[in-house]
Amino acid sequence: MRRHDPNGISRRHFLKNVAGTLSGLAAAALVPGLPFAGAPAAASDIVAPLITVEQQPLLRVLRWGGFLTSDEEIWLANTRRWEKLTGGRVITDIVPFQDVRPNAAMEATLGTGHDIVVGWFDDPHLYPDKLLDLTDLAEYLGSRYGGWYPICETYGRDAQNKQWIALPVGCSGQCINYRLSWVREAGFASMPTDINGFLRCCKALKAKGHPTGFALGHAVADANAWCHWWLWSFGGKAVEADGRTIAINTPETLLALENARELFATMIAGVDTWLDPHNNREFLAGNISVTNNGSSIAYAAQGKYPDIDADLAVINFPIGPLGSPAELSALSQAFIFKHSLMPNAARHYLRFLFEEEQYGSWISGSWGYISQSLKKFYDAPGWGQNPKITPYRECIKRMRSNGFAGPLGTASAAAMSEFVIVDMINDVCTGNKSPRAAALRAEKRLSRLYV
Amino acid sequence: MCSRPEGKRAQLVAREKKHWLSRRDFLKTSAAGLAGAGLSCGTSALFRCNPALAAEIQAPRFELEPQPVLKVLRWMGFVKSDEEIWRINTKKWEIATGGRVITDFIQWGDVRSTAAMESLLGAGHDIVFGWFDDPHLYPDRLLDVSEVAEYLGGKYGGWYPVCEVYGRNAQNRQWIALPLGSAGICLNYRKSQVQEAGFARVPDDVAGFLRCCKALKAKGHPTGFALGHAVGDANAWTHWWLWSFGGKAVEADGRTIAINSRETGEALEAAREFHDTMIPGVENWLDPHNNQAFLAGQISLTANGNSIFFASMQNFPEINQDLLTMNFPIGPLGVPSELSLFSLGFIFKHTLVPNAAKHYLQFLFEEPRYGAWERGTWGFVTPTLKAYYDMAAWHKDPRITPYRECTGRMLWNGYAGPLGAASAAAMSEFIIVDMFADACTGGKTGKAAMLAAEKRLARLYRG
Repeated sequence: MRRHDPNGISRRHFLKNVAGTLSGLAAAALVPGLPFAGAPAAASDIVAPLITVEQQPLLRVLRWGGFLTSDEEIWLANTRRWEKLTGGRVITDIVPFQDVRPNAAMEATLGTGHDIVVGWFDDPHLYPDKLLDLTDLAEYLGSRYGGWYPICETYGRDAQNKQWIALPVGCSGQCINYRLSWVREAGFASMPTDINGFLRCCKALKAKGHPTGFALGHAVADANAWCHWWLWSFGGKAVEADGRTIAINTPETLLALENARELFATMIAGVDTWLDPHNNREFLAGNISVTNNGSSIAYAAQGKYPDIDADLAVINFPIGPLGSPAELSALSQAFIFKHSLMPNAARHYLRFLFEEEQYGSWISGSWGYISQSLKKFYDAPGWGQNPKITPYRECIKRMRSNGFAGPLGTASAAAMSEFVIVDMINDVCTGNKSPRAAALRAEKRLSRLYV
Repeated sequence: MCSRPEGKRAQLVAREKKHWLSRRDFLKTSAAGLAGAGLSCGTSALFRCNPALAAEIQAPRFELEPQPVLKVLRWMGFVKSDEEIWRINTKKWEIATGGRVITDFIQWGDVRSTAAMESLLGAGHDIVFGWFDDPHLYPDRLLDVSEVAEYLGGKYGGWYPVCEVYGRNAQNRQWIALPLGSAGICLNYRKSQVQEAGFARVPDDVAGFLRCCKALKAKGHPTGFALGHAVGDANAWTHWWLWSFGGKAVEADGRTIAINSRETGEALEAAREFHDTMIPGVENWLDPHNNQAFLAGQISLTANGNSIFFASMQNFPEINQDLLTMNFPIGPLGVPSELSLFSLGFIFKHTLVPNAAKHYLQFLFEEPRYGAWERGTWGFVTPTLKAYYDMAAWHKDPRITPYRECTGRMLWNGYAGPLGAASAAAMSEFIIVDMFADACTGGKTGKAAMLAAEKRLARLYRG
C-alpha cells in the first residue's frame, strides 16, 4: 500500500492539532460551517446540491492503483485542489486493485475504516445498506454532464430501492489489439467487426504462422472480459433477471463453446494458464497477432516498442449472433460508508472530483485507461490524441453488468471470483470436457452461488 | 466450563483458580463430551505427564467426501519451522485420507479482510486460520464444530477459559472455531540492570514493577513499551495495564461503555509515571521497534513475544546471557489479565467438503501433529489445550517457560463485552492504545483521554 498524505504529519498529530486548536490549518478557503457553492460557473442553470462540509474535514480514501502513473498523479493533484479549496485533508491509500474488495468488505463488516472506497464491479452491492445515499449527487452530475451511460445506472443504483449508492468513475475498457500488417498478410484489409469474420481472420492468421492469444487462466481482467463477451455474443448468459433461475445450460451457450474451441485452435500454446500480464508480454514480444486488452499495450508500445506501435491497430470487440455489443469491462465506482464521520465532506469531495475541471483532466490524462461514465466526456480531448486509444471511449456504452441478466450482488461477485465462466470455456478449449459437460459443471457451480 | 463474559472480579478470580481442572472435573467433562471407549491415547511423554489423559475417549467419526480438496487460508509463519511442520502435518493428512489440501499462507494482517470478503461472497476457502474476533464477525456463516471441540477438550485436559469465549458463538453457545493458540507476550528484561537497580528480579506485582522501572531509569536504563500503532506489542501492554487496574472498555451487555471510570483514571495516572521511565520516542514505535532497541542494549525492559529471545540466542550472545523473561505482573485487580494475539481455525458453511474440513482440523489438533508443531516451534504459539502445558519443549530454556502460561492468563479482546464487530473495530482503531498515548505523550489529561476513548467506543458499540 502506498499512502498519500502530502501534509506529511501523523494522524495522531493531526487529530491533536484539530482538537487542540482550529487555527493551524484553517488558512485556506474554508470558513467552517459555511456551505460551499461548489461548482464553478456553469453554462447551464443546473444547481449543485448544497453541501455543508464539516469543520476541518479529514477523509480517508481507499483506491486501486499501480497501472498508470498519470492516473494516480492527476487523481492526487485533483485531491490536493480539494484540500486547498476546503481546508480539509485527504489520506489516500492506494492498493493493488485486487486488494480493494477484501479491505472494503472487512470495513463494511466492522463499521470502521476508510470513508470513501473506489472499488470494482459488484462491490457496493455486497453491502448496499452500509452505504450512503448519493442520489442527489448522481442526479446533479448526470444532468450537468450529459447523463450517465445506462450501465452506470445498473452499477450505481441499489437494485431494491433504486437509490444511487455509488458513483461510477468509469470502466477500465477492453478492446481487440491486433497487428495490422499480419491481418493484411492473411488477406483482410482490417479485422472484421463481426464474430464470424473475426474467427475467419484468426484462422487465416494462424495459417500464416501468426497465432492469436487470449488468456484462459484465472486472469481477472483479460480472461473475464473476452469469455463473457464471447458467451454473451452468442446469446448465452449465466442467470435470468430474477437472480435465481440459472440459464447457462442452453443451446446458445453450447454454440458459444463450440465456436470457442475453433478460436482456441488459432491460439498460441499455453494460454490455458495465462494470467493478466501474459498477453501483454507475448504481444509486445511479437509472438501473437491478436489479443484483448486495456490500453496498456498501446501505452507500452508507444514508449518502448516502436515496431509494434507502428503496426498496432485497435477495435472494439466484434458483434456476434446476438446482434449488439455485449462486453464486460471492469467498472470502477466510488462509494461512501455510512460509518464516515465526515459524510458531507465525503460527498463534497466526490462531487468535486466529478466536476469537469477535475474529471475531464483525469479522463484525458489517463491515456484511454478509463472510459468515461458521464456522456459529456466522450468528447474529452484526450480521446483524440491517438487513434489507438480512441476506441476505448466506446467501451462503457457496449458493456453489460457482471452476472447478466441477474442482479449485481454476492452471487455475481462470487461467480466472477470463482471464474465460473472462464473455467467453462477453458474446460472445453483444453479438451477437458465436452461443451455439454462444461455447461453442466458451470450450471452446478452457479446454482450453489445463486441461492 | 462455559464462562459467560460477566466481568465481575469474583468470577475472574474463580476462573483463574479453575484454570487447572481437578481430575474429578476432568472426568465429568469427559463423560459429558463423549461416549464410551475408543481411541487409545498412546504413550507419548505428554500423556505420561498427564495421567488423567489415560482416559479413553472416542473421537468423532466423519465420513469423508470422496477425494476431498480443502482450501485453507492461514497466516504466514513468524518462524520458519512453523510452516515446515504445518506442511508435514498436512501431508500426513493427505496420505491418511487420500484428500488434498491447498494452503495459502498470507501476511497475517491480510487474513481478516480476505476472510471477511469470503464470508460475504459465500465462496472461497473452506478453512481459515484467523485472529481474535474473526469468527464473531460472521458467526452464522460458520460450521458448528462443537463435537470436535468437545472431543479435543475432553481428551487434552480441557480448553483454557478464554478459549471458550473465543471459540463459542455467544448467542447459541455452539463452538464456531477451534482456538489454535496465542502468540504470547511476556516481559523481557536485563537481569544485570535490574540487579544494579537494587532488585533481585522484576517484581511480579504492578506497584513493585513500577518502582523497579523508576529505579532502572534512575540508573540510566530506561524501559521501552510501544505506544504507536503496534498491533501486537502496544495492544498487549496497554490492555494488560488497563485491565490490571480494573478498567475495561465496555460492560458485558456490549452496549454500556465502561471506560470512563475511576479504575481507568488510576491506570492512566500510573501509566504516566510508567511512561516517565521510558526511552524517548515510544509514541511512534511499531511492533519491531522494541525488539531493535532491546537488542541494541538501549532499553532494560519491554514486553514481547519470544522473538527477542530467539534473535538474541542467534546473534546477540551478550544480551542473551543477561535476558530474563516473566509473565506480566498482577495489578490491583488481583488476577492476571492479559491480551495476546489469538488465532483460531474455523470452517465456512459454504464449504463443499464439511466433513473433510472437520476431520482435517481434528487431525491437526491431535497430539502427534499439534505436539510436533509446538515442539518444533519452541512454543511460539502458546497452546489452547491444557495438556500441552507439560510439554518437555517448555523446558528447553527457562526464558521460554513463562510463555506457556500466556493462554491461561488471557482475557479476550473487548473485555467485558462480547466479541464481535465492535470489539474488532475498537482494536483496529487502536482506541485503548491511543488513550494511553494521549495521556502519556499527547498532552491530554487522563480525564480527557478517557473521554475521547469513551466517545469513540460509543460510536462503535452503539452503532
